Amino acid sequence: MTASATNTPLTLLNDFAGLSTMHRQTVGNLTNTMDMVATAQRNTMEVSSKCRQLADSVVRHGRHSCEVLRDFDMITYEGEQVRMRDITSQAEALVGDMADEIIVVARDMMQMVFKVHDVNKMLETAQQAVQQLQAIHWQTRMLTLSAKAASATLLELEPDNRLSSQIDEVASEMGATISTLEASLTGMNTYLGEHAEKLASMAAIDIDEYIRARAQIAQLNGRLQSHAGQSRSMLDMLQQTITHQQSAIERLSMPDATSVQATSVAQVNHMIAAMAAMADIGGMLEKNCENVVSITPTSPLDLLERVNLSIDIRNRLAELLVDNTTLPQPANANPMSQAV
Amino acid sequence: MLYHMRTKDKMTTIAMSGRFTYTDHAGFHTLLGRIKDLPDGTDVVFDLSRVEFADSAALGMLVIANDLSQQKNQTLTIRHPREQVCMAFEIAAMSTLLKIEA
Repeated sequence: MTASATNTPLTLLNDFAGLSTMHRQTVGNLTNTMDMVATAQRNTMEVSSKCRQLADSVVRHGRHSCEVLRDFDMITYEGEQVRMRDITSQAEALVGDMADEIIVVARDMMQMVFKVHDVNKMLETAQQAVQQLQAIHWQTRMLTLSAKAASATLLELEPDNRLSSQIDEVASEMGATISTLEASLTGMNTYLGEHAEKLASMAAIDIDEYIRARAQIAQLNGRLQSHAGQSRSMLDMLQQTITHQQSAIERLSMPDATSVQATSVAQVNHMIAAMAAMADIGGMLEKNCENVVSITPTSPLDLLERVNLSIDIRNRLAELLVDNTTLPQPANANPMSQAV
Repeated sequence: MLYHMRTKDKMTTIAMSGRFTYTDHAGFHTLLGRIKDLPDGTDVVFDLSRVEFADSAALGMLVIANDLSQQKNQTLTIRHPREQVCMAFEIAAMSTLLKIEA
């Protein structure tokens, strides 16, 4: 018996152990991937919500400033300027926090996309490994049958041939190894079946959450755009009111008031521009979140197509099991026995 | 988005052109693999002088590239971003995370 034939069953078992480990990792990665999609969705909703709050704050203060300037009173005016500076500072800090959150959501989203790439690659690799496993398994069966035929021929030619008994022993070992493989394949088949069903049931729950989250994000973005429009209108009113009061300021001979007003207008302009730009980024994030969801399962059927890759691996292993049931029993070690 | 990668001495420059958006995630994933294969300590420069537009996904991908570079003790620099890209970087305060050169 050649060395390659005696090593084949061991190689088969080693490949099988590697395939089992790889498949466990694949199932784990698919589960983690769906968790990350849900997290990215939640984070994007929070960013959109904060954009809306910032817009509300600017609109409220813009409206209040117009009312104050309409009833021009210097003491109240200066007090309102101080208040406007305070709120502007708070809004600037909020914009800074939102910038951090945008980066976190964008990064997590793309990490999840890259993980989906890796999972797909693992599934393809697992499929190729199974194909190789099948090829090796067929070779082993053929070698076993050839060994038995060779042993029978030798016995016919020379009944006392010791080589024949050695061939019988090796064929017997190979047969025992294949029996062990049958038992392991049965276990693997059960494991794959359980995990495919579990993944499908988890996906059904998660997909409902995705659909709800996407609808909520669309609504929030719509409100954000609406607030951005209102803020721009309020700024126009504020500027008109300030212009109307210029002559009153000059009559009161308060040169400093003009520069304070200009600063206030500039601050409000700046905040509204930052809010509008933040709304643009928020809109991009929302759209990209939808893109990301589109490459992950959007329906139970779509997910099952991915899970079916696992089922395909399971079915290929099941084919090996079916083939094994027709394998002849290992030959008796007695060198005088006739081959089957 | 197209990119061209060249290495000279201990510096690798990745010149990108076009629009850098979510649809480029597959190509960027491949590029990350190539960056991962670079020797530790290599300086990596993303030349964005010909990138017209970057969306939020592009920001996320650049941050991931930076995280990878730090793991490999590499220095990552963003060079010559254009106006729209500069604005997106400013809104997202990317300068606090990445080295950006005008």
